[in-house]
Amino acid sequence: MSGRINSAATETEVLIFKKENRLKEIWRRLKKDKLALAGLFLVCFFIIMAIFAELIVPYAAAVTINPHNRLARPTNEFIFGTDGFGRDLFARCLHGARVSLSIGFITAIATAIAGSIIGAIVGYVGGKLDDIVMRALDIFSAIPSILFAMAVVAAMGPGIFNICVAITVTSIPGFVRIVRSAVLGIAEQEYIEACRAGGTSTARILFRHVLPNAVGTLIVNTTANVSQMILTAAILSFLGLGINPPQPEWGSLVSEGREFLRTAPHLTLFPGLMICLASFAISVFGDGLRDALDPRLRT
Amino acid sequence: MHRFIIRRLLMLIPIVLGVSLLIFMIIDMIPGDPGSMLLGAGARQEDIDMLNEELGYNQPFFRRYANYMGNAIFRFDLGRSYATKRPVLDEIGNRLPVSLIVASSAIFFSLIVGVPIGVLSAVKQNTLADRIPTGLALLLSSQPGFLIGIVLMLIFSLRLNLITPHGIANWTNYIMPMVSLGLPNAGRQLRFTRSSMLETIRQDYVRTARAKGATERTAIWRHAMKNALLPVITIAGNNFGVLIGGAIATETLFGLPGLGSFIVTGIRSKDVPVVTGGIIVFAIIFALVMLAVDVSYAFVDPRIRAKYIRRKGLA
Repeated sequence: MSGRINSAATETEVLIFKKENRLKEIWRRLKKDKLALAGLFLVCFFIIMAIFAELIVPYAAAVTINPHNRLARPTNEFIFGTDGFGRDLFARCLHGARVSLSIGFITAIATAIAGSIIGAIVGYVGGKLDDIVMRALDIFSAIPSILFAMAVVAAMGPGIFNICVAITVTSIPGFVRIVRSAVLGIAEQEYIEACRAGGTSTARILFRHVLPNAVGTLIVNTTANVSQMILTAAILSFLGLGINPPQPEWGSLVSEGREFLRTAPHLTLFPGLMICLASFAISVFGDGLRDALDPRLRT
Repeated sequence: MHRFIIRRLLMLIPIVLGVSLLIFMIIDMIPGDPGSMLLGAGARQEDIDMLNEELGYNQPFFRRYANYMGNAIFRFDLGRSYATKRPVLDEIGNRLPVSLIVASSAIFFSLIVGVPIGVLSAVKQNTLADRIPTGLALLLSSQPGFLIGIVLMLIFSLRLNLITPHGIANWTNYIMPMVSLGLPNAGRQLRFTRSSMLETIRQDYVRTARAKGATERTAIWRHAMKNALLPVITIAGNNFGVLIGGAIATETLFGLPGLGSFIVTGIRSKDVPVVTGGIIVFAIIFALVMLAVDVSYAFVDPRIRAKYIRRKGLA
């Protein structure tokens, strides 16, 4: 009895040791990639700015209307200038970052969780279930995801939570496909067969053996999804479906600024630059991470 | 080959039925009814009810769906728009060419720019001639088209006054949408071409071609590129399909009357026939494009062509 507990303990220790080593190895490879590091730095910078937005500029500055100071050019007081209502554009971009980034991260993680569970079960169990789910996914992928998300937002009403639901629901099918094909490859491996032969339960095989081996694919796709979803949210609110005004969001800021494109282009360009930089930084980091996780994929 | 095509065409039936049911259900969940949306806030309840009855909206959900699909399948009629009363199919017929021009020009642009530079990057791997284009490609591919569109509009319409930014009166109106949708796709094409080329260059048959005495140029551009193009075709086909219905932000920005913005106006006013009809047409076109991609594989790659023939022989 004690022997069994002992061997279990060592098994966990070995696992932890392996995990630590693997993380170190990944970090060592990532450190070599200067571009990916720059991306990571920029992403962290954005996140920190978003978290401490309230301390840097209070939210009130982002929504207080001041008709005397409309469309001001960037100055020392308002480093991004002011918008058509005299609101501080820097404050709006900063508090918009909170909304845009949280939508991006929350939806990407929610998609990853739901998508991997469905994808793993479908891929591993296979048979009829696989057929049914794959045909259902064919239906989902026959609708442009942006239009689908738009219809869901229209049905549920505007608001951050509803946008998150709409984006998550529309991106789960794509993620399920990716996880399914990764799982199909892993399920054929001998060590999974060994597990099955040893009488390990299906749930345990799935969550302890199959999914951990697909973790690289999951992380890479989730990182790519974060920037994709920031863009989707930006498009939705650019089209006026999404955030309730006067709450700022990068896409809606771009759309608000369009009205003054001729006279005050900075109203569009600053929030546009935010979208551009955040999405670029995440993609660069995601690319570096992919190479670090699996050097075979390096191109 | 014919069997394959026919089977894929038959698969369209369940997809169209599923897509239409799904969309019908979601649009039905949008709060409000078309009658009160069309007549506005001040309308009398009797008028609203009368209009809803006229539109057939007072009937239960499944009867409406069955009626709609019955007309769509047996009479080839996608209903009339609640708002304009015009047949949806006519409206789509007017708008589809715009979407097709925008999507095909953007994909053409992305291939012209992305593929040759992608091949060059692969050949000159890890030199400056590789690093700069791939870096730029990553930057471009992570941008939404409407952002590039706004910058183009700012430069070419508002500063230089070269192109009017709105409508489709002139062919020059299509230039900016083409570039703003084409650039992110070009970035993606470049990256795909590059990684696919890097794999192919190391294959034995490319070495064989070199050993046979083919010049470096023939080895790369004739032997390697032809095979490296397969994934590139898939991506291009997929992007082309998506752009036909999904370029809504860019269509809105440039005031293009395309399929995507048609569906968007339908979603906004709970115009069930417009949205359902639009999405059905989109789903069919998308499936046909993807079928064309799969068939074109056989033309590019003799190995895949052989597979079809063998399957036919066995069957």
